[in-house]
Amino acid sequence: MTIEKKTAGSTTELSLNGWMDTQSAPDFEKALAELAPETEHLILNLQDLEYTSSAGVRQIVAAHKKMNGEMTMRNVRPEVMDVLTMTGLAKKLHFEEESGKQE
Amino acid sequence: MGTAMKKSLSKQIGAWFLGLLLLTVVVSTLWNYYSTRDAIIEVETENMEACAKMISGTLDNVGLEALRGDKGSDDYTMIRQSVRNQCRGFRLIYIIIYSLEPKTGHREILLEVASNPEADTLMEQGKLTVPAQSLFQVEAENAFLEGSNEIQRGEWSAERKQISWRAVYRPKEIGEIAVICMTDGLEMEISQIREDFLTDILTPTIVLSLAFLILVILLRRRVAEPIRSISERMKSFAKNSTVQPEPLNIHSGDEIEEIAVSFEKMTADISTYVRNIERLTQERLETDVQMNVAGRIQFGMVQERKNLKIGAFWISALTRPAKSVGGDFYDCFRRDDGNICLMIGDVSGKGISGAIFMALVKTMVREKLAVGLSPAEALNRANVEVMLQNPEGLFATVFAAEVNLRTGEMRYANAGHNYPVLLGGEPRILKPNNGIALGLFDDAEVVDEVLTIGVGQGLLLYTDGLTEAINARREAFGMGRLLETLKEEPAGENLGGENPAEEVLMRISRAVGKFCEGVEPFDDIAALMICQEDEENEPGTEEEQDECAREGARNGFRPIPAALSSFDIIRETVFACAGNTEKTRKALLACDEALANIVNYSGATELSFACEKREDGLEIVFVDNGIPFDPTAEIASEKQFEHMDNGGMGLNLIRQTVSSFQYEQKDGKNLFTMIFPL
Repeated sequence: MTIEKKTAGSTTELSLNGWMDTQSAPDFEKALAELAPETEHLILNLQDLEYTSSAGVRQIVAAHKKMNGEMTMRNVRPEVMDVLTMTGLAKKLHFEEESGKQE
Repeated sequence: MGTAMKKSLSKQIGAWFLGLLLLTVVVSTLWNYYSTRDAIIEVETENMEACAKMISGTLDNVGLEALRGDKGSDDYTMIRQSVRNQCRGFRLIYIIIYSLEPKTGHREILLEVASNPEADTLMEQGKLTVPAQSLFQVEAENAFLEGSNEIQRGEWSAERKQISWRAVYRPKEIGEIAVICMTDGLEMEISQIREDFLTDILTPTIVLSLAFLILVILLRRRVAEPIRSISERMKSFAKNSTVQPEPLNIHSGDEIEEIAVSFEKMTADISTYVRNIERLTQERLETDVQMNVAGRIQFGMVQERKNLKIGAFWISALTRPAKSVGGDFYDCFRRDDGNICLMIGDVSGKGISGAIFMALVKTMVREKLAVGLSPAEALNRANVEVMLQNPEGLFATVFAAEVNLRTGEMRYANAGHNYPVLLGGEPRILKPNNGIALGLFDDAEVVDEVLTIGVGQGLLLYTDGLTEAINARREAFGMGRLLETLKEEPAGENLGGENPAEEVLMRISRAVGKFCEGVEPFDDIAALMICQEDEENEPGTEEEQDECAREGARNGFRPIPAALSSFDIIRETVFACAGNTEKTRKALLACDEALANIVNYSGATELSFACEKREDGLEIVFVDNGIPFDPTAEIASEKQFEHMDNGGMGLNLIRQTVSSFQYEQKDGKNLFTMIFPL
């Protein structure tokens, strides 16, 4: 999994690419730990995240807690969305679709 | 030398060298001695013969009478002088002339001379003489006495044995025989040869041998001994490489010391490595044992129970941990109100931490279901507790349900777990209103929903290890393949087999196994299947019969001593109830195990037993007041785990024998019901 980081003011966007599983979830954890303290809002762009395992779910919850809910899930694929829905996380997260801006 | 060593190198070389040296010395000595000696004897004999001829000539001229006369006469002096000159000239030592009386053999000494002046003077004065009786040589004298004129040779003998006499005889005339007897220098010459030999050959040989011996000893001390001690240490080290051999203490300053130093360093290193490896192996072994123990505990917790039939419902389960301990779990038990409680779950961690978390979650949910909470209440409350005890931030997805055996009504709740599949007719995914997995948020938001499992219908619960099982091409088994597998046979037939629930699970297991062939399992798989029997009997009626039968059995309870000897009573009762057949004997085997478990491990003081022959088999119930122990759950606490080996085997045996069994705890008593086929 690769992680891309974009910061604009107090908003940081992390774009995840590939599979987030037990092996790669710590990368996300690290990226989360390295967030600047002044970050007020976190955007997780999951456009290219093909799969997430339970370890990934844990990290998403951890991010949600760290940001005190100030987190947006962007462009989540159906496969990942299924996992989030199934684990009940979808209820707690804020999602948005943003297609045009990406290109 | 070491016992295993056949021959020491230095000893071999030394022995060969000394042997050859000795052989050379002996052979050369003998050859030298004999060859020289024979040559000398030849020369000396000719010498003596020449001398004898000359003296004979003189004696012929003067006659023997001149020697018998006055020793001071001129003739005597002249003859004596002449003979003495011959003695010296021919390098002889003594010459003795004596006469031999032919008839009597009487010997008379006539003249004695010596080449040595002092000896000669003493002889001349008559102070030194050879006793006539001591001079004789029988063979030579006999030849003269028989009339021979020839010179005779021979060894002369004398009383003084250290001197060997040589003699030449010369008969003068018949009637009187003069014997000229002379001693040559042979003995002297030979002793001279010996002396020469000693100085020329033997001494250097001995000196050389000694030098060689010293060399060999030095070699042994400097080379062979150190090598031997190195070799002995190598042998002892090869036997036990954990103990470093004693230091060699070789300080020869040469290559041997280098070898010894290298050897010591090598053995030190090797024994350190070996000790390290042994320690690591031991630690690994301990870890393995712990993992094994963890796996067994977990195995006990997830239950490998296959066939469970309660009323009209069949329940079957499947587990396949990816590692020795997995994070998937399921549970199934009958509550006091008669409802069946089911749950299946998956924790987010693997290995030991996942297993511990799994145990925590499973125990919490079970405990809450058991006291009669609805699935949603149980999950929500468990979530609150898990949130308090979850420093690692692990979470668990759990699906929980309770099934009413009479109505088939199922109340269920899903805390973030995979969607179950509803079977009977077209398989369809049941999408409950999922709550949040336990351990993530303070409020799991789990809600209850209701569904009826009708006749011939079933519900398949599973963990994501099933749908996400990966094959060699990194494709997931997926929901699609799962539904295909379930569709393979018409649903009606599906659920109408001997044990329809087990049949479905076996089919799934085979399909996944085939799909993932050659790939190491990546995630645990657990699946739980419940279905209602597809038969004419109304479920309610069945249940009522069940209940009635149970009541009947309970009424027939008979108190028996909580001792192994009670087995006799049980046997008699069972035989009286259902006859002595192969099947009842098998049932007794299981009863024996159950009794042994109660007597040996539960600490029960009261025990009663009931036995009843029913339509669906032989029902046997044990009630005891021992510590709570659920044999159907196999293991629930560490204390019972200690007896796992013993109890576990018995439980396996019971499991293989019964058609169904059940455990309840009521009023502080353990109620263990087994139904055997008849």
